[in-house]
Amino acid sequence: MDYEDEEVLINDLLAGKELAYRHVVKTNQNSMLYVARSIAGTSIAEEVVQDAWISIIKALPKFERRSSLKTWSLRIVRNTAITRLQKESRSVAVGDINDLEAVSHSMDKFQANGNWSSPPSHWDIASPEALLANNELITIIYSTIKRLPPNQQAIISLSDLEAISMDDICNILDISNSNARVLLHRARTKVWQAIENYEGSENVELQGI
Amino acid sequence: MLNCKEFSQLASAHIDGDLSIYMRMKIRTHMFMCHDCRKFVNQLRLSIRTLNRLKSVEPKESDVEKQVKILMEYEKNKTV
Repeated sequence: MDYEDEEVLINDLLAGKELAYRHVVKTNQNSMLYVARSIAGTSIAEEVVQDAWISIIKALPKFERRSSLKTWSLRIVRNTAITRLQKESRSVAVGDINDLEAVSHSMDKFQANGNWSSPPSHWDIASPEALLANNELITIIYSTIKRLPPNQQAIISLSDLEAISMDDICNILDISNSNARVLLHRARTKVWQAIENYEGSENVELQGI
Repeated sequence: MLNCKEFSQLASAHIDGDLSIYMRMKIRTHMFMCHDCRKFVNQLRLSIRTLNRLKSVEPKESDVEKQVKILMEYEKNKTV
């Protein structure tokens, strides 16, 4: 069953219906894992998500519907992750905004004077439809997202795959708007770069080089 | 005056409409004069629109089963 109406879904969850559980797990599990990983690290992320599910079901009768079920659930994941970290006396692994990897990455594309060192090449694909029709490219995009550092992975999936607002994302991940903007820029640029590499090499092949 | 590197760092926020009026002006000015950066913004926008249309990868069926089982157990023990 596909739950279009959130109220129907919530009622079925409160009634303990297996189909409803199956639906929410299927649609939320991955974004919950991304959030858990980015806050608590990969090794305990799965346990955090398991704990969070129980908390979500426990708290559901008191859900005030001030946000979507998804956003509310992700905040519970965030809280669960932070509590878990405190229990294990770890500090929140927000990640260093100024990591070396990103610095060297931007150095590749630009010269010291701020000009492009290798400007964007021509892309044959001109629309999302054209891109979506290319299975090879889709695989490349998914694998690019999979290989992102946890913080960038969380932010690009919440923002661009799950269509959650920047305000809600900052709330869920407990980061400032400016930090979120930097992370999102880096993540999106990596996706752009992956497509650019593909399109660039296609051009080279066509030229018979 | 923005250089191309500075422009590229603002491109994402520009596409989302999350820039001040002052920065929007600087962005537009640079874009007007720079063909490479216009191309970059269009390509970045295309990349993002494609992501918007991608289905979120679904978790493995076995992982879903495992989690649903745990929740059903919890439900059962709740009413006992």
